[in-house]
Amino acid sequence: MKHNPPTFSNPEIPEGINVSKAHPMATFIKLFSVLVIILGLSAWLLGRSGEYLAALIPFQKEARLASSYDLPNDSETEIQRYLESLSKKISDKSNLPNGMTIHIHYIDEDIENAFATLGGHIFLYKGLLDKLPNENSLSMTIAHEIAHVKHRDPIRSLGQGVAISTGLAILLGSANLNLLGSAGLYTQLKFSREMETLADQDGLKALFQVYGHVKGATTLFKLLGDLAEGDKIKTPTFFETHPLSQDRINTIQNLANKNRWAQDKAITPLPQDFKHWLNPTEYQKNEQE
Amino acid sequence: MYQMIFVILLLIISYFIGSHIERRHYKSIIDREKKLNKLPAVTIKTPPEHEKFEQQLVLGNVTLSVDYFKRFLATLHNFFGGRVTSYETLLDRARREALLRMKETAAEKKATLIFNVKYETASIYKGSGSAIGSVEVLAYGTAMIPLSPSPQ
Repeated sequence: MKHNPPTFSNPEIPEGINVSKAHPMATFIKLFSVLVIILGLSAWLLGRSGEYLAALIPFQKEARLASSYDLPNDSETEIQRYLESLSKKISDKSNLPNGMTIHIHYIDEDIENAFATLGGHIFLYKGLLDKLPNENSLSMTIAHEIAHVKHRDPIRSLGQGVAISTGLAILLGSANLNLLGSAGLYTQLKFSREMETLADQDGLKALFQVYGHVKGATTLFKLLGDLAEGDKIKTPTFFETHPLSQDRINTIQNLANKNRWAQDKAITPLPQDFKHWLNPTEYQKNEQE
Repeated sequence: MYQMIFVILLLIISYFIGSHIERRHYKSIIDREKKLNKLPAVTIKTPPEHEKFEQQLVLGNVTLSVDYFKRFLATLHNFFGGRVTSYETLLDRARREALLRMKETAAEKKATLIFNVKYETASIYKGSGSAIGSVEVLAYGTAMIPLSPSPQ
């Protein structure tokens, strides 16, 4: 008995059955941009909620947190005493809430910077003080930083940063929740443009309360602007965080005009020995010669 | 920042190299499939009985990896869900390559049919997280080698 031998064959299978036609690069661009938008939005939301919650922390708690970090040993120098009395004068007129105290620290370093941080601590660097032409502009600088403390900007900025880095830690699984980083209180916190504008306004108000006029404020910002302009390559640290646009000067000018705050009164000069206090050794040398 | 530039650079380089290799591989697969189409590989389990055959186990094994770009893309697919399109070509190529290697072995043995063909797939990333995106595909079957020359 004869069988018909069975026949076997493999058909030719058309291409693209198991592989989708979507171009990998197009898919990548689509998915990646959606992911970036989602991450950006959640970071923003997280930051805003962190900022909001941090502002609810009582100032006393914030001060206690700040005192857990290393603070500079303020030596009893003339410059330190002068800055303290000046900041006392300004903070008295700044309408600070009860229990909020300002601690001023003079740092003998050639950095053109000044900033406010947790617990009402304000750092003023020699490099910036050296450039200021009169007491009014120095007072405006201090008043601006005091206004940051008054608005709770340092703790709000920190809260924002902590919320975002916590979110990142959850996402990436690596936790680096050191609040301020290795530099401790010397870490400069980032303030938003809105925070800066509000600090300008409140600072200007305090300046008016102290001197009865606001001359020196706009000259300060013009001077700072000129300094930044003239030295584009090595922009001083202060300007990186305090964007100095003509807008900002205009805002201050408008505020002064609106409130009829005089801008043409006599300025108060810096104490005679101010430069000497900043550079004691240099002046000693000059005297010997 | 530098890390990001490095990653972007890696993505671009691996995208171009990866897609070049993939195109070349597909070309080779299609050519060889045409050549070996006359040797059927089927999944039936009972051997044909009209002829005397020597039966031999034949294997085709391949390990393939995706490029860095596609692995990155797969992470995105992982986040959003849906078809992991960036791994589709990897598995498609691996299965076809494994079958081709098996067929090539059988053709060397002068087999006329491979029956009871099966696939095994294993991923080679166990223990190394998402660092390696490779698969191993093993195709195996029983090659039927005619003992006497066929009557034709």
